[in-house]
Amino acid sequence: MVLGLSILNLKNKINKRAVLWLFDRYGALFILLIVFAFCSFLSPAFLSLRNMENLLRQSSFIGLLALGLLFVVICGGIDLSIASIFALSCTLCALWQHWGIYLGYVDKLSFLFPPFIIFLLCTLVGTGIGLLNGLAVTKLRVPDFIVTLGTMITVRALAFSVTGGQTVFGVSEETRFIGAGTIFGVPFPVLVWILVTTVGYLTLQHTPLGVELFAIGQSKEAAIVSGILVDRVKLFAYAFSGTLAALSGVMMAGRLDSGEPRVGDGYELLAIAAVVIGGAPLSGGKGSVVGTLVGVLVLGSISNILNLLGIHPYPQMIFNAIVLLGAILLRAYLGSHE
Amino acid sequence: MSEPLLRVCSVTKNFPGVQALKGVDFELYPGEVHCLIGANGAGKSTLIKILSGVYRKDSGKIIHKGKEVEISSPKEARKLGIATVFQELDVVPYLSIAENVFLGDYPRRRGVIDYKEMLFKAQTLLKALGEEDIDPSLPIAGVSTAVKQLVVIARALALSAEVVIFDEPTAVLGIEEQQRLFRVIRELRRRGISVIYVSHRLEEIIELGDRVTVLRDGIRVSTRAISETNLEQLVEDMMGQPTKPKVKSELEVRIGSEEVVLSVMDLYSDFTRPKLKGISFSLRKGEVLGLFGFVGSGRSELARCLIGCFPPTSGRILIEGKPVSLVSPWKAMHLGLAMAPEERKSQGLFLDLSVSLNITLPTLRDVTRRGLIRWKEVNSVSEHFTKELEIKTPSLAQPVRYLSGGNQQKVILARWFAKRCKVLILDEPMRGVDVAGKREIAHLIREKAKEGVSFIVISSEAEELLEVSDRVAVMFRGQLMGIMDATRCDVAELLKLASGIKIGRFCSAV
Repeated sequence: MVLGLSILNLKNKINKRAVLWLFDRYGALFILLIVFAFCSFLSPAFLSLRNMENLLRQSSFIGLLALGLLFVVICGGIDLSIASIFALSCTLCALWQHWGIYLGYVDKLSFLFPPFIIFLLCTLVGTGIGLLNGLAVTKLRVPDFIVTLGTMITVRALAFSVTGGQTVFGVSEETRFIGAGTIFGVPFPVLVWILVTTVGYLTLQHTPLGVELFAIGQSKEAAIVSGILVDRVKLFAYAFSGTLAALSGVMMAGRLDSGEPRVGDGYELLAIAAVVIGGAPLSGGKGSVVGTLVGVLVLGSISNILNLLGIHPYPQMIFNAIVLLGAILLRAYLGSHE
Repeated sequence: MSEPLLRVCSVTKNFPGVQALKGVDFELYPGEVHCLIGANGAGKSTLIKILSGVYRKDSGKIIHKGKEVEISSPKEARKLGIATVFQELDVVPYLSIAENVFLGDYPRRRGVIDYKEMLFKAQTLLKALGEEDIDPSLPIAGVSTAVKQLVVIARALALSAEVVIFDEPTAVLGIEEQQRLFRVIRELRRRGISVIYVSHRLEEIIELGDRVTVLRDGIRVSTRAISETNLEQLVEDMMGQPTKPKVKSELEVRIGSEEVVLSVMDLYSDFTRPKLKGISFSLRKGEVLGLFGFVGSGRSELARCLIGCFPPTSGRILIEGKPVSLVSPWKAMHLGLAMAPEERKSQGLFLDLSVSLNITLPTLRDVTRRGLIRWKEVNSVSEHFTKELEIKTPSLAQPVRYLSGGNQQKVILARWFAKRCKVLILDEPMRGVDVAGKREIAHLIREKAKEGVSFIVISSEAEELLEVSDRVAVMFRGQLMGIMDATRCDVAELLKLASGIKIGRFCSAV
């Protein structure tokens, strides 16, 4: 009560810009707190350690996609192909582990070694597709939406084609470890997520490349005149996005214990939602790693609590959409006072 | 003469900080071509924007055919029969020529657009303008600016306008296209339509106009019949008393340096508009070279060509005697050549980035350790330059959006000083800057020139340019008309050169 009053008083005293600034900085965090509070209110099991671990593990896959996408969005682009790259890499990771697949059988005997080479190759496939996206956008000057829509469809089709539409069952021990294993009780994908997020944070906030990404997103013309190699920086962003999507896909193969071309359907939209909830407008020039992290967790929490409450996955998308619209409207409302 | 069609009586207009019109009078008679001239900021465009309903006047009267009217919107202006051909032609690129002629008011039959009728009518209107070769079914995106202009004029005819206002229509046209436009304007006059013609180019006015009104600082200086006046008189009206440039005491010191940092030889480029034709000049160390010319003279295009935004078609550029090929602003920057563009906010600054980052952006890659930015160094560099250039900002972390125009300009200057550029091209550095800011920037340019930085300063304000430059080069339609010694020439001479009138003396190209 006292706190509520003091906040009210504060709101009267400080000017609008301070509120805006607070929201700009901590808006995403604020939303996360509300969502967490609400979820734990709905189900006491939500805040249990086991469930939290689950939430983080679930979120880490989308988390990687969203982080890569964030880089592209900050420099004013969009990448719709990430979910398809994710699926292709997941499929290839399982497929390439079995030489036996070409002889018509899949089992432990047909595992190829070492699997790490395969992980690397699958990730590089993502980098390659990202580079192609980037080249088409920068050199051929095709609009990014069109380019990545094309890649999205083509790469998904490729994922189906390489297995003839089948799921490849069974992956090696190591693959299962990177998908489902834990280190000191922390799921491996979560560790990768934390590591990559840290690297992403450092890149965005503390390297010239990061600052240049923001600069390009704010004004491409100004960036060109200011002697920034705009094409090269954008190319990097797309390649980075593709790489992270593929990395996530490799781990997904381990988690599913199979290569599944259907995996990650609609993940690109979830990733976009996470980035936007995290405070990065699709017009570019703004955004933060922490915000995106929070955006991913908000979406993850919602799907998690709906699972706990026993609601089917398909209606869950509706709730995601509501949160996304809510976040955008709130931002637009506060922004209109500027 | 008969009753004026349009009479403007002591109209005023204030903008925050400036009084653009201080009580202007103006009369337009039926069937005359009335030219409106004046230096930048004289109030020409404000006046025509009031007449076309874009702005609303603060006080004064507008009398149309003897009745007082209030032109509160462009729609209102159209109703009164006033059509305007702005420099930025308002055509819809995906529609055909005919559709653009009748934009929003298509001929209909039973509620459905009658395309046949529309094509026929458009053809008739274009024919009336003496343009029979234009196919009105073509999409407008594919045709030249000149044809687009004709389409907008035809639109005025379709609305049976009685007054057509032209805002610097020839700035974007070539010579033949200009002659064609003049023929069309004469045709309008023959049909009894009144024309208000705004232009910088005096020679056009002499060729085309019936009467001319000169504005200066928001008031009318004179209205004369073209047949009774001449160029000298008009220039004098525009400038006020004949101006004598101030003698600069430090001039001798400045001219002393003979070291040439940048020389441009016979530069041609077909990629710019207008095309650059045979530009040659050289720039000494610590020299400030003014570049004067009207909109469309190619001055900004030359600047962009020099920093590698547009490739030259032929010609050579030497930096400190070495031939270079400037393929990108990045390359130019590394050779010590950089530009502060005309559109400061959209093309120069990153509005939501901090002052500090805006200053150090091109320098960031030089101050890293193991890939990470050394923020201490970044801060000390930006602090140094904000102090030296006296950039007024509450903090270095302030987004540059919230700074005043003058301070924003200084941020861009600081950016290139921090990068230690040898040659800086400033495109309209004083535009949108208040008087005090202008003086500070001019002072700054002189100070830095003394330290050995060379400048090319582009401006359409002749006085300003004479104040700050050592020499002034004048451009006209993509050509260099001449390079004048700033101490030995005056505004009138620059204006004449920029209007394409050769004058007897000018210094050599080097």
